[in-house]
Amino acid sequence: MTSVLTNPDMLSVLDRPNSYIGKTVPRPNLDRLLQGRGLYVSDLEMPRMVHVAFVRSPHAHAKIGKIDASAAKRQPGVIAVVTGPELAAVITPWVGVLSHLKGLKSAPQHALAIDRVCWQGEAVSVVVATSRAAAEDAVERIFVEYNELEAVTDMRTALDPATPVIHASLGDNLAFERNNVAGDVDRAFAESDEVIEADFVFGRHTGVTLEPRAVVADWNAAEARLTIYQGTQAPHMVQNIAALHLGLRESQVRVVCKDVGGSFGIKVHIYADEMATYALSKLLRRPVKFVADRVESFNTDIRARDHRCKGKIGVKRDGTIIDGDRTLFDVSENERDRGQPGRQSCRRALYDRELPRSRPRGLSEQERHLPIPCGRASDCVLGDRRFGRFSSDEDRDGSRRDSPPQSDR
Amino acid sequence: MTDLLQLSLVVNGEPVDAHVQPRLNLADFLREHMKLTGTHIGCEHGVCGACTVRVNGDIVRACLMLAVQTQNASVETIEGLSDSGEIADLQLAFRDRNVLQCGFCTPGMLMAAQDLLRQSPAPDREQIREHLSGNYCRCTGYHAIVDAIEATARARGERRP
Repeated sequence: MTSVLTNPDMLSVLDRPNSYIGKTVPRPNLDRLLQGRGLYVSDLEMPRMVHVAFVRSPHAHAKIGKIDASAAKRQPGVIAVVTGPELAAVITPWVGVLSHLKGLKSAPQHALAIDRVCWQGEAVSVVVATSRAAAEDAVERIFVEYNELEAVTDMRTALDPATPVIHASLGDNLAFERNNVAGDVDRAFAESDEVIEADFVFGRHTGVTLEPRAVVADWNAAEARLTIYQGTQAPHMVQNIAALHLGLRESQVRVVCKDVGGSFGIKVHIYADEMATYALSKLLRRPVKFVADRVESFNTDIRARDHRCKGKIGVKRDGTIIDGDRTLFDVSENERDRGQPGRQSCRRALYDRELPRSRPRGLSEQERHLPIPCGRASDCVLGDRRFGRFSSDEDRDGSRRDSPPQSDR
Repeated sequence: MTDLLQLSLVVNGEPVDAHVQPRLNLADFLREHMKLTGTHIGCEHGVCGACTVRVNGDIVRACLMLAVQTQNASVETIEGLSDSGEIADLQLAFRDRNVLQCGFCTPGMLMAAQDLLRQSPAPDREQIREHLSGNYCRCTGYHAIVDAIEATARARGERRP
């Protein structure tokens, strides 16, 4: 691109020779990525590095009985087989809530399940071996007794009295609720010529990054420092959370994020298997690598949507919509972002200037499957009165956003 | 199954001798034994194309081929094609159009694109898309990739006598 200066004597600071304005600026990392010389976490190797593979629950909800790892421990290349209670010696459980989502409830989670699994794919044990292949061989020789418990899989009945409460300590299955009311909704319905109700179902989806989640954790016992190499969108959060639950100061934890093979929102979270990898490095005092395979990605990466929505509008004969009443059901388990879809959809509905009277309600419920927090633009699905139309992730008045935007790539 | 087999092949022009398990796939061999990590593993079942390499002149999915099947073969990876200069113009076209975001698919894209241009010097956009249909890019939406390949084909055509 070239530009013609009308008056060369009137150059501004933006016209200096190295200005980016009006120019195509190639990214500095392109050459190494184009030559296959990037450094993704899955490429990383370190001296004495070992690999992990997880034993994952085939059940959505079950008591864990005996774990027999005796055959696995005799497999070639196996260095350790670790279960939840053993790993709990170096890492504390966490509760997935956010301070700006007041009232969000969550039960403690462990890096590896202890006593009970709460979603299909939750890790109950881990093999550490000299290669991922050797670790996978050993995983096949670990026998876990499960006593299946009732799974709660329908968010629309999750709050019924007959539905079992998943986390007794929380009292019920309601994780988060937000009700917003604008104007006299009941009166508006009464004044409507017609009231229309409909149910909407939004399919579940996930990010599907071409490089799966990957982490190398390197605990240096002599320096008492943990270096975490991770393909993550949130390195500062990783530093904070890892330090907090491994009993370290933040200054003892360094997070290195080099090339990342796609994120799309799934890598803005910290997963239990990643926490387990940090903890294993501390336990075994050596670098530990976890790279999810594609099946693990589909089974354990966060998902988004899967909303059930009830909508109700009052209309006049001339076509004007005078009122809206919406309930968004949103499922999730153990993820601190999970109140977001309900909350943001509710809030966004109030900003609809064409719909001054509305009563959106967002519910997030505990259910038996993997964490469902925000994926890309998840809060937009129901916020727009033209259901199903995706809008940009901007609040309409631009000033009332009360949470930091989800970083998204 | 875990007994090691002797393997001799040529990788990026260099003779290589190795002992490998029969179950080891070519992608893992290149990455773990040869440390050629430009060959990426995205799906491990032949769908995503990130592990595309050249074996005896044909592009293959390195995750669907066993290393022992390359006995006496010539294997070329993204590192080899980069160092020989064979795809320098294609890489420049990718760079100029910012064809990549995360770059994880890019080595496989380049291998597939160069394969097309060797077979068909002046492909139309439909043919380009068809030839790349086995390579997933999750970031870009493909449009700029097709542009870059089309531009490279045109430039090579103009250079040809």
